[in-house]
Amino acid sequence: MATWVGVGSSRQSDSFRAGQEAATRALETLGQQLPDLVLVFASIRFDQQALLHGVISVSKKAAMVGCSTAGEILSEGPSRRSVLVMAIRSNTLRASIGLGTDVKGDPRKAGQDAAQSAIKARLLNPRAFLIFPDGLTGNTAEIIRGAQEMLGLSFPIVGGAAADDFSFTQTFQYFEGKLYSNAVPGVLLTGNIGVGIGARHGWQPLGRPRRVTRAVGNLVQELDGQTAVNLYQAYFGKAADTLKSESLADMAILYPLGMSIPGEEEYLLRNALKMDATGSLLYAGEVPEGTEVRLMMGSKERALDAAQKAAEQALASLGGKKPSFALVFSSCSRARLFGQRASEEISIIRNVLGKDLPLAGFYDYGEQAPLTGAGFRGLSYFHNETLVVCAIAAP
Amino acid sequence: MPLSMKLLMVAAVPLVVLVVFLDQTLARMLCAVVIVLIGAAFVSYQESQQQRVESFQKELDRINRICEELDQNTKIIVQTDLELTRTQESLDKKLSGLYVLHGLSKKILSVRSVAELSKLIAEAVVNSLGFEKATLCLLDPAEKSRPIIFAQAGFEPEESKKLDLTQLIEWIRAPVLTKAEPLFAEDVDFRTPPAGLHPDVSFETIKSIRMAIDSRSFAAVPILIEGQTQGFLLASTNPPYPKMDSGDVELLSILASEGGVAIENLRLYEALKQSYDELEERVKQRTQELAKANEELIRLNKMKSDFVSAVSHELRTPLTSIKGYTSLVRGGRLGPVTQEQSDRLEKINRHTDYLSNLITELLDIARIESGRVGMVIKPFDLTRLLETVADLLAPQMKEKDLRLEIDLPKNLLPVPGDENHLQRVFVNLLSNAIRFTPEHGALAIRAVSDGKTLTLSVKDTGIGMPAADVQQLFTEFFRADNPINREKKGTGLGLVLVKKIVEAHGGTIRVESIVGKGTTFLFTLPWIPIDQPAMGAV
Repeated sequence: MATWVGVGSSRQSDSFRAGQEAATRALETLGQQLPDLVLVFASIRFDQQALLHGVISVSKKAAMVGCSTAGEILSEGPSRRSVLVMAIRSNTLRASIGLGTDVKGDPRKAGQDAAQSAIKARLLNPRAFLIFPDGLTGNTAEIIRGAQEMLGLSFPIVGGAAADDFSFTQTFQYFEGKLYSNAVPGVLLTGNIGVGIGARHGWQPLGRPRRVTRAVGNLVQELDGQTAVNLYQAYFGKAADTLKSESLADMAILYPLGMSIPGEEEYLLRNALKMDATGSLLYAGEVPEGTEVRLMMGSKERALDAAQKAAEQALASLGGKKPSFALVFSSCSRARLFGQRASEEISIIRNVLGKDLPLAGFYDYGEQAPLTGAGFRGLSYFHNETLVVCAIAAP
Repeated sequence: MPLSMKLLMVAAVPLVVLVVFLDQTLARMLCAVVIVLIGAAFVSYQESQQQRVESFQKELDRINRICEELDQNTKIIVQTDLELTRTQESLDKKLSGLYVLHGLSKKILSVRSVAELSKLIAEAVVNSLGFEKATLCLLDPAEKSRPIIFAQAGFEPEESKKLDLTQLIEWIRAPVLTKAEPLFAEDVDFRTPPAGLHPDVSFETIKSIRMAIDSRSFAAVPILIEGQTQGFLLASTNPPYPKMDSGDVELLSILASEGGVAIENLRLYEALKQSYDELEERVKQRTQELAKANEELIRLNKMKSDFVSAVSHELRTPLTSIKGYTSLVRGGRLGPVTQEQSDRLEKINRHTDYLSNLITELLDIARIESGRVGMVIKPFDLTRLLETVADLLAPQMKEKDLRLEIDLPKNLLPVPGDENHLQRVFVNLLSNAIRFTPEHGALAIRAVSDGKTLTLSVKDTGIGMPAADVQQLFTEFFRADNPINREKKGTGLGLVLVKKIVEAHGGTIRVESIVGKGTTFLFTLPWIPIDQPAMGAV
């Protein structure tokens, strides 16, 4: 019984060759064997289809899922404008993949479809469902609800929402070597394995609570009866005038809204992604009408402390099993907050989980992870600005 | 419960008692009093409640005010944080640029060609600085429109092939090549010229560049080499990546100037390397020529030796006949010989001897030189050899009343060498010493050993010779010009032979001489290990 995991990356300028090179490096650890599953995370600077062709020219018929990113996460630290391939072969871990489309039209059905097609394989002992949804087109919380309807309310759903290097225009999803947008690819991890998940952010509430007075899904129109963008204009003061409207949203990403959840230590965060002409703000996740929200602020120290806690939580929930590999989904706003110190977050995780543990992940537009507080029974939620560490023990 | 209510209740009990026991009139009055009192108490209770609500309201207002104040503080915190974040981001950007430059300057050290360096810089612009495409072009310093080096990164191969470089150089010429100023277009949208465009550049040119490199945002900076614009670095981006800004142009300029210095150094290095290689090649060529000449010389010398030995050999046979027949005639066997004839025949005999001697020495030198006669190195007793030599020359020494002192180290080990040849060395040197030393003089032969070499000297108190003669002493047929030599004829080959024999032993010979005081010949013999006798001419 064994599990082989290899991680490879490439920064080649040619898209096909970059995919090929990253996959070849990932497969080196596997010797002559072909992988069962490949995860692909790549920058949108590549010609996406050529990139995927490059990967499958090496990974052949292995199941493939992945998405475009706002930066890749490697053991050595964060990487930009690169492609990352994680190849897994195991005789304990079994994976079946599924896809849901039209996230914009019916996110809940997309979630259902992704889970449904993954369950079809009827594998024993399902442990966790990894998803990489399009975080720009639809309500990701609804996608999770859809998947929960198929998998059970407290079934752990983990992952990160696809990103596009902070341009917030179009993200891509990868499934079976094909390129999608407005979709949700997923992979159901099953077998006699352990899955340990930790999710933390470290952001702190700030200022007076506000009430969401008008909102539809991810779009918040009014806060305390005023145009949503007024909140940021009020807080940013003079700086808001000097910033153009598009970069206002660009800066607002560092100050998300927080929703208090009973029993949970931390607030559930919502990232502002875009501002429309009327001053409504599009958040990376739903903000229901009537919710009381706070403006949140991050600090590097607290965010790094959160990384430590998330990694410890992931390791603790493995219950003493030794992790075989780990996946890291970190919010793109964390990368922004940390700047040059982004690699510290990754080294903290490696210090907790083990320096030689194969590690892969990406900077995303939102995270999925279960809440552990009393009364939630591991119900998975859609988070923002959060670091999700998923350690997998596949002996 | 307010105090008035309590008082009222305390008052009510005796009142009820009074009402029960007293008459009606009094009771009625008391009732009226009680009612009035109750009314008053109620009014006062209402008043106190009103006051409490008011104080609560005040407190609430105060808290609200504090809350609002705190929220104002929050704004200050957020604004400060925002400012910090923006500063940090711009610092981070500069810092990562500097990191790239630092990393690049380390890499540059190991690069050995300008083409390789150009490729390295172009790739760094794309892979490390995060721009989408980069073109580096170096122009011929003499002919300013001819590209000599061209490197690209971030271009697809077909795209790169399609690019008309000569055209691109023309578009970029002003102001990059003409004024060494950057050309920067933040965002080219075909409708309006980008803001802050350099006055030397037309909007048409900008649009052409945008088409050629398929990028909306681009900047070209000059590469200065030896204070002269000799090329440019062009970097560009496209959405969704951020447009280039003035900070980017600055960073590119730093990179280009650093690249220029590196290219300059590399060119110097290449020139130096080339001249070094040329020099090396010339030295090699000269060495070969010399080796060839040397070989030729060796060959010629051998030819000379062969010739000399052949000729000498051919001369010796007739000489023997001459000498034989001369003594036959002089002996009177072929008829009577007159005194005059006998004198002439004696002269023939003497000259024949001289000639024969000369030929023998020439032959010996030739043989030793050509290596045909090797030294037979065997340990021999030096004391015995010197005694033999002294005995041989005793008559001449006696004739001039010369003293000979032989000073050898005690317990001298057998000396490795060719006994016969070394005997000739001593005979030669000692005969010379005798010849040039006036009567009643002193001669000395000494040996000193330092463990590695044995130094032997033959010293006389003779006439000595000037330094100019000392230098030529070992040249064939050289004879110092002095009265003794004029009187007595020698071959001029004796010392040459001595030198050849000493050198064949691996030793050296030198002369110290002071005119009027005497001359000392010093020569060395190495202590060759006896179990490894050196054979032949060493």
